[in-house]
Amino acid sequence: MSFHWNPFQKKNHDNNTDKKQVESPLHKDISENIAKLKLEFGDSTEIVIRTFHIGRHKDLPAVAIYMEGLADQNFVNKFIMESLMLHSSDIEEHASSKALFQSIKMNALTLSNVKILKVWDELVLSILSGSTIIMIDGWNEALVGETQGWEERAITEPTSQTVVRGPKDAFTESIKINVTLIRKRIKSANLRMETVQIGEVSRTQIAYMYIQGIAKEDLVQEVKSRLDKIHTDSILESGNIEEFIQDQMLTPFPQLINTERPDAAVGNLLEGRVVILINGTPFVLIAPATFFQFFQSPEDYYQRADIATFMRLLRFLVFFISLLAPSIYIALTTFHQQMLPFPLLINIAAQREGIPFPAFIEALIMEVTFEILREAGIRMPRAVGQAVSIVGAIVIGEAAVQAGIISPAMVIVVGITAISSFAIPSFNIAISARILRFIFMASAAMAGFYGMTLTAIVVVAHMNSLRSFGVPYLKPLSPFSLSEQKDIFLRLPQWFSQKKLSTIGNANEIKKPTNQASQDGD
Amino acid sequence: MVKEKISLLQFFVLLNLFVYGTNLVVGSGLDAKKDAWIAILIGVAGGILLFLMYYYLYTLYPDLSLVGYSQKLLGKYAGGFIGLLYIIFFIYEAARDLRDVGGVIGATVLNETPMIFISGVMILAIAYIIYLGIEVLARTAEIFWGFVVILGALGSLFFYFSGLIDVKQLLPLLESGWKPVLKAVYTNTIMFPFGEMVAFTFILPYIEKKKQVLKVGMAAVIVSGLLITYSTAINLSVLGVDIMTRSQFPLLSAVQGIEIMNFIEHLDVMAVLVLIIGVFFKISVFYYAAIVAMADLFKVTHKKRLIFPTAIIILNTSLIIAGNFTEHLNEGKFVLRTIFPIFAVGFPVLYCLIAFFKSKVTR
Repeated sequence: MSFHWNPFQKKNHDNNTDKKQVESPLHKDISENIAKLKLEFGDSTEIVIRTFHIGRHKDLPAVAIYMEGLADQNFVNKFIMESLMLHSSDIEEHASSKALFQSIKMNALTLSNVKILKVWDELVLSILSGSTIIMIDGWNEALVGETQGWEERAITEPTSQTVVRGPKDAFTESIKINVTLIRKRIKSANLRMETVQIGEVSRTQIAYMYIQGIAKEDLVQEVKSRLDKIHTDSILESGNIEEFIQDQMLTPFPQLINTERPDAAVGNLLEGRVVILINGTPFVLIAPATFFQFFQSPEDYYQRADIATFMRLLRFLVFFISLLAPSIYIALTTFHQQMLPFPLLINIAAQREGIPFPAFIEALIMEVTFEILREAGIRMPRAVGQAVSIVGAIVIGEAAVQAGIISPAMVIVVGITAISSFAIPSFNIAISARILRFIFMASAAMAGFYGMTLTAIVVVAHMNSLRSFGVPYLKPLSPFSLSEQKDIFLRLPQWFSQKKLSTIGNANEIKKPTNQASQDGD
Repeated sequence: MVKEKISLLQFFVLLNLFVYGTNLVVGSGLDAKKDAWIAILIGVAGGILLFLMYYYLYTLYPDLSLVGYSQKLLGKYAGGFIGLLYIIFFIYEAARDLRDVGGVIGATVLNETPMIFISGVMILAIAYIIYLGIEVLARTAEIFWGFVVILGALGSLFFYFSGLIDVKQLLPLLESGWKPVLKAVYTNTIMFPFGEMVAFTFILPYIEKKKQVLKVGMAAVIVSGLLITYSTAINLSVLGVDIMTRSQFPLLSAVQGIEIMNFIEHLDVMAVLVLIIGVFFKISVFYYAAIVAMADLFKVTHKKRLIFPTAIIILNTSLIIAGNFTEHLNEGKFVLRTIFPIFAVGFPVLYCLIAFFKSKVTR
């Protein structure tokens, strides 16, 4: 039933195979190579091509090529230019090209990470990734020295997922730093990382990490094959990857978690999930994801169990308020007035006196207004941010009520809905609630609690039909598993689940990632 | 062919919801007056026997539905004809339950909404869940079963706290002897709800662990039977036998009496929620049984194509089935006495006998 919607897949796949056929080797003559390079880069000004002689070897000119800005200039000067030009006096004069090439690699180049390249395309890619290329006249191979070095944003506090107690570092835009942040926390050789490059144009570096022995083999293979299937021009953010590898398109529910917190990523690694890191974004993806994981915050594990349980239950409550509060109000005032205690009923009826709209329209106006305010608050320039809150407070709070368009009770309902939607730790599950809220409002307006119950059954059925990398979305509530209930609605004390820590390193039965029982039927 | 799997727990909750789905609200065994709950309790014993019979057939043909083995036992055409009758029976049953919903909702919470809308959205929602498959249906049942249990437990507590329960209403036991009780058992409580379990012969082949089906199935029958007994006894002790027999929806009338702290009152809407959920899954099971029966009988490879046309048939049947709700309920009593025993007992007993003698002969 799951279907992968990927209209570009076929077309781009063909392009890809074409490209591989025209791999061209390097030329022996470096002046030809330089000319070709200039042609290829269209005389870009930031490409530095430096011709020089190695030591006292005057016969064969050498050339160093790098991109300004991508390569660390000090680094190039000190470890390539200086070592080749000044400290290479012991290189035999009048040696052949091949011998010279070898001795540079073995003796002269004081860099730790040096590779040899023969193919033109790889050479271009290396320059574009910030490496420095060294070529010698008369030899058709090139030396590549890792000299990447550009300005990075420093590691800062997470902005979208904050905690009161817990580590304060967040991922940055650099995949290297991100991998380091994870490696620093797990000093185990079983932590594996594999990299792929995705994007015909952007050639973005993507890495996926997992812990051998905890993550299921099938899951890792599935992640790999789904990543391999992606054929697109560019990957700019983890969201691009997410759309390609999620199981189902037509759903308001997110099927992968994103986080900018290294501790959250590490926690998921230890639970057997795969973390996908994308160069250029601080948000990493975690697969597979189930519905209940979106209500977990890393802080749950740093606070004491009772506090954490309370906070988690609160979050579920908040999710339901954010999802259902306006529709319950609509259903109560439109169809089920008898359910309200009499004084409250009188009160609400008095408030609604003179309101020109039915409750549904009233709620719709307010909800849409609030959604606009929220969106405006995010997009507008910081400097004018205050204006939104002032206008919002006046429009929503005072004026609408005084003008007799909206009843005060409605304002309370919309207010509590809004606040609730901010208390959900994961932003993308909050968005699901926002979308579904309107559907629930419509069904409440049409058929009261009856309509809402049917909608709820349909939504739950839809969630049950979802899978994230083969794991049922509502697991472990359905299919129900008692042993996994200790970290869903409750967060039982750490010693309760001590067993799992001792099983790291061997393929274990207690904490497998995709243990969706065998009743999953696919 | 069987690819989807349901777990034992899912089977348990599905059977549970199925059995007390409509029964909690519409009530059964009221011919026995005060002793209705005894009639239901005896009905449970009958239910166990029925389940044993279905289970016997299931052990003989663990991968086949009732239509499948009726063709094996009686031949292609005779067996196929009985299969056809079962399809009509299930569609009729689904339509009856849909009409129950239309009637209860129309009479209680949505007074001015036309019935075609009430029934229409219900059957649409059910068609969607059937479209997603039996596994999704069972897993969804799992979640809503929990919800129903919580609501039921709360409701039960509220009855105690509001001091409505008067156990003396149940006394004296067996005022007019065993006769009316046994009559109610025969005419009513065995067939409704336990005879309807025949639809589960179409779901048993999907269960994952075949060995424990008997244990779990029996547990489900007993638990749900005790729950109905309990709820009927509570209703009787709250309302008294007079109001109980006159009321269309006894549970709703009983719940309406709850009043705690001037805040928790008029909980009949909550009872209606339980009804909606129960009936939803009950119709789903009949509907699904009808689809499977059709697919098996006519060798339809794409089961999903049958879903929407069947939904239309069920919806229309439910609308024309009776002129008003009282007629509908009276018809129900008639059907329970005449048609139900044929399908729930008659044919399965026939199959059991044929299968039994066949096995003797081959030996």
